[in-house]
Amino acid sequence: MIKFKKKILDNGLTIICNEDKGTPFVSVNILYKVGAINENANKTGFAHLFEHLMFSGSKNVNNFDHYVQIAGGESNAFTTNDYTNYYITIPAVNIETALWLESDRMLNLNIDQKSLDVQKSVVIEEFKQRYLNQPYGDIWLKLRPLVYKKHPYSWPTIGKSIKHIEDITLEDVHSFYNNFYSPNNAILSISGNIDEKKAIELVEKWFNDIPRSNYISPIIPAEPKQTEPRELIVKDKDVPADLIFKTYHMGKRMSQNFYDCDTISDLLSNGQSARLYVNLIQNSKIFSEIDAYVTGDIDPGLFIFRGKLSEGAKVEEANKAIEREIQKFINESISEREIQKIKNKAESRILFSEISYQGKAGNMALFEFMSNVDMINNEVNFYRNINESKIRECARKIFNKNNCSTLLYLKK
Amino acid sequence: MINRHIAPDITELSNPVLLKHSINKLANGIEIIITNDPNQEVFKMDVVYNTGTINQSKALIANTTMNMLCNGTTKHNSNKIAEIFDYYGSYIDTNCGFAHSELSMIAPTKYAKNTIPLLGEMIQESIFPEKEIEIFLRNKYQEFLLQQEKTSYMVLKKFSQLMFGENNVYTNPVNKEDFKNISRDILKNYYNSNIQHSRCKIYLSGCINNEIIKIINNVFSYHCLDNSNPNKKIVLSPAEFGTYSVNKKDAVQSSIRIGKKGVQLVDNEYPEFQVLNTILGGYFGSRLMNTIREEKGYTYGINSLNVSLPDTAYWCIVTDVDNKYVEDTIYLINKEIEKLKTTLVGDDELKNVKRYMHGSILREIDGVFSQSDTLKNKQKFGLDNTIYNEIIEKVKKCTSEKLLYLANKHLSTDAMYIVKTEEITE
Repeated sequence: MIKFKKKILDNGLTIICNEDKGTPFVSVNILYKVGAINENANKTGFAHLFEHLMFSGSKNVNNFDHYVQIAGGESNAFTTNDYTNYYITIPAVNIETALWLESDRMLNLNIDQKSLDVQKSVVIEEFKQRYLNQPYGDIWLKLRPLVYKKHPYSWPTIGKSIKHIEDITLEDVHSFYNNFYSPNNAILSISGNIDEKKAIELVEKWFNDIPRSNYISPIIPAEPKQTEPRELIVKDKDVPADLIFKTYHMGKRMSQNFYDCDTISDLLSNGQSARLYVNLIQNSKIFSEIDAYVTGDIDPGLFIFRGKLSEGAKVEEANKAIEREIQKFINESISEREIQKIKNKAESRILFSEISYQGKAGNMALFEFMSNVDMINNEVNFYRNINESKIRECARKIFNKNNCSTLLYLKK
Repeated sequence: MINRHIAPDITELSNPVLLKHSINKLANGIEIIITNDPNQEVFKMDVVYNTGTINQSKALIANTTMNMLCNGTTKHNSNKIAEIFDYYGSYIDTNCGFAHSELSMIAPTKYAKNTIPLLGEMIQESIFPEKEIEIFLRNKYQEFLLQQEKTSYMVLKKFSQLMFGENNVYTNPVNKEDFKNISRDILKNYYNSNIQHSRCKIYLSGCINNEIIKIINNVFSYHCLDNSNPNKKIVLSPAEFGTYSVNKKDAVQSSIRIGKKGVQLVDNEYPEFQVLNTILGGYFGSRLMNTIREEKGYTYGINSLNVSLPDTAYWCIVTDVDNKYVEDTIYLINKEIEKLKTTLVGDDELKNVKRYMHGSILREIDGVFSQSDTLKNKQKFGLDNTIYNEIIEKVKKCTSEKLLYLANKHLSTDAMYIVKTEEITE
């Protein structure tokens, strides 16, 4: 159970604070409601590049990291398809340094051609290092457009291609900043060694005067229902083993469907007692790795099977084996103990997530973004609602061959 | 409008608050080191043995043995073991290093009675089923093949071989054939002599109540032998310094690793050397990050690290850059090193790095679980967490002159290994 105070300022900034006396630090977390889904399909990779630029300094801050570091802090950020998240962990006594830095870059970011050029080339090297120079690194570049035809989840946060990053202009950057980096498009959460009331006062002090933006972001196109099976075969890469991905469209993050699917993926593949491990690795030896997991995207996401084939195993055989396991799952019963196990695990996972103040700050902002911060303490109820017939019903609906995309990544 | 021209005042950082730990000794000599925090609802337990790859007669034995602890006992098969920990919302993990091996668990305190006895059973009654060994090695082999394809791994391996000697234990030498040479008997032998009835240390942290202590007493009070393995001296046979390449087909980037012998945690000059390392490449604001990433945009990241091993240490710079930037990157790295050897570090930069390091130490030992972890790791070197106070003191007192002296003592670019991947096209 996380206790917190919440307030929305006149300029639209949402503030959520939680006091944690177990640490001398605070985490100041800002979530901006902008991610790769807000990009133009012809200018992808933008939100992530912009995240890099947020560290290039602002009107009164020539060097962002410098001020974080001399206050004994640390800072980083990440971009997802749905949102961009920044955090500073800093000794609680120096919290105002963090608020000063965040407010200055929300109000007056400095962007010039030089820093844009440098960050473009840094991001291009990141593209190469993480997506091109790793065995299987480009899987998501191939899988996303296979699975999504309309929805912008069809490209990864790094972007569709290096060319897109090269083409970004200073003008693009300015309008993106003006549209999305405003108090009414942000959630600021704080967890750590500071009284909640005091924390809110300090945020008000530093953020009250930042004007809201009137930009209304266009509606994200929904993904049309998939009506036939899709398949893509990649076989020109030097990789040590064949890989198979099977994906199925599922519900959005804040729906009961997500929790049902999460449970199914747990029953199928979480740990060495799960069905896929026992049947496909231990007994039939077709796979050396096999996973079932859900993406947890805010908009309707994916249920994914990912398997790496053992040496000598045939890919058709592997594909059939996964389909067989799905059918078995739909037809076989689930024991009371298994259902109880899922509930116990969800409970302890939530317990563990409350240990770290950084985790709490991040989660409070995320839940507020997804629906409402109150959900952070109610999530366990979704798991308590789970029962066998609902799970089976959910599996029957989702695991339909017309809802399936298969990617085969084969060795040369 | 608030005045943002002036930065808020910064309060000097305080010294770390070290949590008290207590030590219980069981009748058989097993030490239980407890860092208690009744405000938590969960606890962590690490069972540590003085054995690792240094003590194995063939590659893969130590690591495979640790993994097999989770894969079958006289009373439970691997699926049941996994199911029980899952059911009680607990996580187990094994870890195998050069001189130490660990079995760890994190669990809700209310389930201690359901989980600790099983952990004890895994240590004392593992049976090493043939089938599980085969699965583990088959899957490990796939991971091995994947690793061989990564440029970062290729240069790491080459670098280690140059530093320590071709087949030295510190290079983690594993070949394809090794996967065929592991038998159940070999593993059982290692298990019998190094784990099963050996004396371990147990680190407990989080919410530790009397019930947990009682259960541990019951489970771990078996007869055990001292396994403080005689200090095996690792003989190093370093190669000649110089530039070395490893070939990689169709790589779009090259991995680079430049380094030499480092400064060990127990060395008197360790804290000051850490300051030097941090300035050069040890944090986001480092000189290498500024030059190679923020000015040139050659890389996504560049770091330097100083790593302590059981009886030596190594220091190196690592980065990945586009093939066309390799030569210039190496040139710029050398230039930054030369600068440290000839020019005093300015007062501002030194002050900043000191504060940064102070903050990062406070972060490293923040909370009961972290402090138990750092205590465990420091005890492996015969130290404890009070070393952090000493490090902070020495860092605070460190002068530019001292750094100049250390740069000249340790960072001679003629006495380093430079390893990079070279692209070959078909």
